[in-house]
Amino acid sequence: MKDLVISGRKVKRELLIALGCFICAVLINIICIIVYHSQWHEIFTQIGFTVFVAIALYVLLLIVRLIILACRKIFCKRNK
Amino acid sequence: MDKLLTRKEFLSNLGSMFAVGSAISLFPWLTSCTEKGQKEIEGQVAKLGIIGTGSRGQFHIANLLVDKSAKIVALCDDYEPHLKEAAAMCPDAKLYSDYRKLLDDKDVEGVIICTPLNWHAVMTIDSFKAGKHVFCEKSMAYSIQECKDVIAEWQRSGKVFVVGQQRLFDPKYIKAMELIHSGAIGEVVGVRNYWYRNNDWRRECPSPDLERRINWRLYNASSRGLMTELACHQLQNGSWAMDQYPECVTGMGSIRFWKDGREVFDNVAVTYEYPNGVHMTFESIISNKHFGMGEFILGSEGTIDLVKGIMFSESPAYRSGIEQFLMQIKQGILSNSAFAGSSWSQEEASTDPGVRFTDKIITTDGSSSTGATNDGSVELAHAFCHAVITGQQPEKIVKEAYYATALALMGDQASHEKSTLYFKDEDRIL
Repeated sequence: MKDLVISGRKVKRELLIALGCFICAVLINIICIIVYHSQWHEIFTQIGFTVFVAIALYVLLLIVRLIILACRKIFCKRNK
Repeated sequence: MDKLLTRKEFLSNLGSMFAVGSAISLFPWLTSCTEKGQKEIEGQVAKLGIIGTGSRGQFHIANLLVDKSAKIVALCDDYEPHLKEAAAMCPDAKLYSDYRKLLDDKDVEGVIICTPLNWHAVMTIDSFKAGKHVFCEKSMAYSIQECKDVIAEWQRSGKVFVVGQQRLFDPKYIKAMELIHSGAIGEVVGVRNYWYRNNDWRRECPSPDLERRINWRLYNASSRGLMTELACHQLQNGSWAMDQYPECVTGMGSIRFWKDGREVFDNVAVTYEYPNGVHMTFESIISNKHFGMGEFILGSEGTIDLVKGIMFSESPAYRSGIEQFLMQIKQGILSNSAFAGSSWSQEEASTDPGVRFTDKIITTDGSSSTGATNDGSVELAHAFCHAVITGQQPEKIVKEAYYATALALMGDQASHEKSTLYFKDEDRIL
């Protein structure tokens, strides 16, 4: 069986994307606090929901990336 | 026309009714949908004739074809294209172009009347005289006097009578009424109904000679317009929620947009007052569909959205901002940014996303002129079959239908006269 090698560069890229998703989720939480006139301490107390939104965003992004990757592969195959 | 229900879907619909089995004492007309009711008619069929095989007639046929307790033995329509379409759905049924001939057919035990409004009373009365059980589409009749004549003949006949007020069988409404009667939203303080569409309400007409027959909804001789076609369903809500009937009604209406030769209003706004001071409103415009269809029971402690099956609290439990956001995504409800109140401060509408009170809710936007899926129509037709087989009249249905029709007719009259009409004592017959 062939070993799968995940390069450090790829791991770093995924971590950066995950971090980006988390920052977006925090921003969503802040916007929600403003829109729904809720309390500012929810930035910390609602961390569970923030992590949930971050994971949802990461999964959504992953699906989009996989679709783009698949399209690219099909396109490259046709060009060849 | 809506797609034919599969047997599985039909049973699933009835299954949702079993879930409200505990509510039978509150809603006795649901007996046919209980396990006991099902057992009572096991292996038996109601032999039915359909009078009027247009869109609504075909909708009922489609539903009855998957109901084991129904057998359509006869079809009647004096408009051949409709009769042919229906005949294709049930090829074994006998065909008639005169309803009196169908009534003479000894094989027919019960009839379903889906004709224009002006025919309801005469056909229903003739059916009772012919010894048939009757399911008449709403509204019950063209005038209050006709309704009274229908009820008198029904009482004389001893036959079963059901009217197409399908909300009585819709699980959302049943659960909602159970909550309201248990005091979940406190005292009822208001009832709000509206039904907006953006279409001309016209059917394709192959020849100008057929205009008044095909587009019967648009002419005063055969229809009472938005009140009998749409409001009749919604006006039931207030009476059902409060167990009382309005004392008076005031209203207005006009032909504002569809000036195409029609005689019935294309927009109406009607208000009813109950003895306890509660007001129930009905608004309809068919040249703007922004608000769609809505039915709300407003209580001192909460509000129930009957169409979506959601209960909102006047003092909702605290939810964090992000939690509210996620709930709104989950329920597909956009926040309402409307403002209310005449004081200097803006009173924002509640942003509480509410709580769903039933599972697997299927909502409708009210845009279908034929009938929506899972709106109680299937169960109502089944209840009629049950009643035909057992000979037992489902309780309260006629009373609810009579008052819903009477209120719709009074609303129509008030909006034509631009006046306030009082419910006469002699019209409170049930």
